Amino acid sequence: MILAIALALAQEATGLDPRQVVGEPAQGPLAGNVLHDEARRISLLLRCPTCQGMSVAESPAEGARAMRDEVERLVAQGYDESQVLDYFVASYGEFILLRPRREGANLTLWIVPALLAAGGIAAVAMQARRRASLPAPPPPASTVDDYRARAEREIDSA
Amino acid sequence: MNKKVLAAGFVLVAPLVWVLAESFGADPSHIPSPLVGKPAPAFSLPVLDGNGATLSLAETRGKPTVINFWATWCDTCGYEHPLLLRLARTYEGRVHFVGIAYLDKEENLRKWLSSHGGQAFPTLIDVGTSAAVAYGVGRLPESYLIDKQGVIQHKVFGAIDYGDMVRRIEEML
Repeated sequence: MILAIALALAQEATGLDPRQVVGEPAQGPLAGNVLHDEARRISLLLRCPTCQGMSVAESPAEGARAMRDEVERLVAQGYDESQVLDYFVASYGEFILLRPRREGANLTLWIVPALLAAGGIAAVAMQARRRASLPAPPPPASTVDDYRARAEREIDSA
Repeated sequence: MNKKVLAAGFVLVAPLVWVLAESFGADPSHIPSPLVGKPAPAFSLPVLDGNGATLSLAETRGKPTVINFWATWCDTCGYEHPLLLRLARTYEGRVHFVGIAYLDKEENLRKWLSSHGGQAFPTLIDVGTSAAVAYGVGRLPESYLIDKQGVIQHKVFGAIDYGDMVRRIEEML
């Protein structure tokens, strides 16, 4: 509780108020190990903006550390995962999420591969069915028989 | 049949090629800011060597404002600093210029500023880096052009271009 108050005062000192972006905290303030674990869990969902595909939790970059601190400040005040992610999306955009949300245009990321896979399976199935419905091809003429007939003709004519 | 397969393949592949072609050669760190067109996040931060004084965004209202996030450990910031000084002197009294120091120490800031032409505008200390996060700062330097009403009109990634800044500032005056 003391930590939460201190963080709230620090936030007030900077004039930056997350409530203007994501409203009132959805839950009670957190502290100690619960706060640390929850902040780390949420930091794993945020992309380090200066790294290649690394989360804020894993990156050694200074900027990532600053973002981890911000996540911890928000969680300490009682902001839940959705609110913290919304707060970062509001300033960095959807790019900051390591896992794009399954909504709007992002749904194409899930739908298109599924459609392509379904289309591929359907094409293979149609091709297989078409081949099965074709009449059986005539057996190949035996080259041995031809050779034998020719040989016999040549012997007879000799 | 072959033409149908080719057409279907084209329909599936063309959008993918278009997306890749659009992004080819683009700097991956230049992500469009969702803050452009929205009110700039309010802040009130301590001024470097301001004897405890703070400066808030609200105090800059009524004139265009250029906010520059920088640090002494950022090489590009050294390159653009003379350009910012020149701009600040050119538009003195008509445009607010504010520097926000990101992840830095006051003592380093003083030394750096004295060896890079001094200050033509206040430098604020980003306590806890909350301002940088609120503005979506990724890679330094980054600058934000805020109009008289406090709305972010443009975000500059990397070092500023003097001519481009003059054009954008003139549009906001």
